[in-house]
Amino acid sequence: MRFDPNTKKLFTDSGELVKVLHCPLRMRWEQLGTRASSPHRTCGECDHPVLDTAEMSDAEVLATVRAEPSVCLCVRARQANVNLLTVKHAEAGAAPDRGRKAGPGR
Amino acid sequence: MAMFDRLRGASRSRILSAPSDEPRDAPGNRRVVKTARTKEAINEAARKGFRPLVKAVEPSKDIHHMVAVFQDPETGEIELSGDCRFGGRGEKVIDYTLYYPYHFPNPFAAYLLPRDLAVGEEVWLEDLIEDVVAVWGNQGFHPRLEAGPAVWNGTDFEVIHEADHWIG
Repeated sequence: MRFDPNTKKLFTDSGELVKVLHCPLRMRWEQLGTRASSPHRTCGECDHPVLDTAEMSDAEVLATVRAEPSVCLCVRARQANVNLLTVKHAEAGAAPDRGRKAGPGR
Repeated sequence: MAMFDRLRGASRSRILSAPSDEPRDAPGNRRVVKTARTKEAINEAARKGFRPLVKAVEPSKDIHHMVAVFQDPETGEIELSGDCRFGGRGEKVIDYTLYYPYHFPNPFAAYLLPRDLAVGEEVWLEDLIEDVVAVWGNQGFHPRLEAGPAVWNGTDFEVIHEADHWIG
């Protein structure tokens, strides 16, 4: 997946827009209710699931959002399966469309 | 009431309920609080009625970019690389190094507070003085948050920022 922190848009690696992340309540991961034997959590304010995308493939995330557009997602800056898209990255010599690997790169 | 008592919390004429649903990456309907970074600009704002909230400009060790310099041995031209997975063409003449990429004119700056700023008001700081990590990327990419929303608590701004994860 690829995520633009400025626009909050989440894309698949192939460039398909998955969702624009927006939480008007500014919920944080630690405020969400845990679920037994599941990495995902539940928002007590909206009473619907918030999916931890760290353990999901692009196809899984895309299929889930297509089936249930109101589902919420959590994306972390250091998530290994997400590239953070930045413009400044291009200044240092890498292709801008390659983004930045959010997980440990070394 | 002294001139700036309201700034110190004596009045609550415009308190926004928190959390607001204003966008976090744009001013939205918030008032914009400007920053002055020179003595002349600060004093000019003070003469115009703003209250300068003066702060030290202190680089954070958490803020950095990374770069290595490669040089073509034939032409002498250089190429920069910010990603050690890909490198650059030529000979690496400076190894991957973390550096602070920002430059400010003075070691001080000031937020220019409007007279009617009230405790609890959420504003947009268009030029953040404090070093707040915008993104905890890898490959040494920890840029600073350049602008963002903040709430005035009567003595200072509390910057609203989520640098490590996003939900929505």
